[in-house]
Amino acid sequence: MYKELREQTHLVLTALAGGRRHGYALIKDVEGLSAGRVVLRAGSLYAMIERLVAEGLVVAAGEEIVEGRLRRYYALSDAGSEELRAASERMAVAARVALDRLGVASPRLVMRFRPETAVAW
Amino acid sequence: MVSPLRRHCDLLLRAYPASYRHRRGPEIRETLLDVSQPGAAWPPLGESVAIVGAGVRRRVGLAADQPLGELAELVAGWYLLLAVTLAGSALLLGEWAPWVHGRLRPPYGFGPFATDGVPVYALAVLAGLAWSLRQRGLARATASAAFIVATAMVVMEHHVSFWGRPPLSFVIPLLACLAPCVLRPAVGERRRRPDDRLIAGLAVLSAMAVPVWLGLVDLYLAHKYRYAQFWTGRGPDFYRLVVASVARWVPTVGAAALLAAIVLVILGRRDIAVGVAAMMAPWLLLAVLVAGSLTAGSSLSGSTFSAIATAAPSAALVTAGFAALALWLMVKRVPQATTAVD
Repeated sequence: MYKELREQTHLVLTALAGGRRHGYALIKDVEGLSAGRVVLRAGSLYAMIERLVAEGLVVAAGEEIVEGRLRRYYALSDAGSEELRAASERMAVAARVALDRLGVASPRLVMRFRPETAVAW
Repeated sequence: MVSPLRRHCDLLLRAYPASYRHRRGPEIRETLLDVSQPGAAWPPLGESVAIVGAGVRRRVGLAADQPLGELAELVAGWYLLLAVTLAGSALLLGEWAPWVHGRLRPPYGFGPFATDGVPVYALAVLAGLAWSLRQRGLARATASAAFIVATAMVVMEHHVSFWGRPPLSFVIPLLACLAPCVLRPAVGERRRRPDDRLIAGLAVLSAMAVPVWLGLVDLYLAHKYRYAQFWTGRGPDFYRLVVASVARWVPTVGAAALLAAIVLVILGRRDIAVGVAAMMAPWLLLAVLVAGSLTAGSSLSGSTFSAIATAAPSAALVTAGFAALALWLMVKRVPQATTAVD
């Protein structure tokens, strides 16, 4: 049984799937992943990190002092990877069904679309 | 030499509680420095507002991306605090005070108390006590019982009228303050048992059907009265009548809003229901204050007025603060809830 993942949470976990990140790197990565649509505020980001750490999806991954600046890194835990994978697969199936019903021909998506998966969804 | 920007970041971070600042303050400050323009004295305005907002939320026990269940928990807690304030001062100052009891003649009164509102007040205080002991289920059951007893009280008064009941303009806001406790979605549960929700909904509906009906009767009487005497004079009585007409409707509006909230809960739109419940707060306060000012000159309800006058300042603070917070949270939630994956 998986919980809902909000878009911002999904983007942060996706950013961490590319390796450990510190706060500012996460903000920039999420901005890039969403093509500039989602810009996290520092206040919101650290509240989210606090929650994700408490839920066991994200773990602290060391500290460094870079040019006199404290950098605290975060990484995906095993549970976080699993949560992100499951949520992303559900989204992919939903997207394929939607595109199929809209008659939008995306060669890559159409090739991957399997009706039996859609029935399960 | 500490730069002005760094100093201002530290100033903004003071919005957080000290323990949290100690734990996360340095990294939040570094991130704020990263997102600021080189040479700027302050972080960008949006970042500054977000930091203060996140700090204040943490101080009141809310995480910045609070799940709805926990928000409803906070709503229920605040309203219950208001209900206990109202019921507690009604019990101590309105119902029990010797100087109030001394004014009652033998056939009137409810034992040593002024009216038969006592069980409702007591149940409200007990619900608050159970809540503070973290007995959420017991608090909900007690608050539901208050609704049922209040309904029985109003119905009974139409047939057995010698006890005397507290004014509806006091009982309804009290019950409305208990409603979020009865209706809140349970935290940590995926879905409450349907029978549980049905029973809670029926209790609230039955309690609220009475004031809505009385409100309709009021409308009819006011309509008749207006055509008979309303335009004949414009002295103090005229304005008193106007205020009284408005005051009678305020609890009815509150009750209607609560009914709307219940319907939304039953339809599964708990997010909107929480917003409706939050927006009722100023109306409830207005109802209490207007009712208090109207009964001030009346010899019938002096005891209730003393209770209201005592409770009003604390009620005003709690209600206004909560309403602002809840509305802000609701407004802020909307753009975030863009993608939900089932």
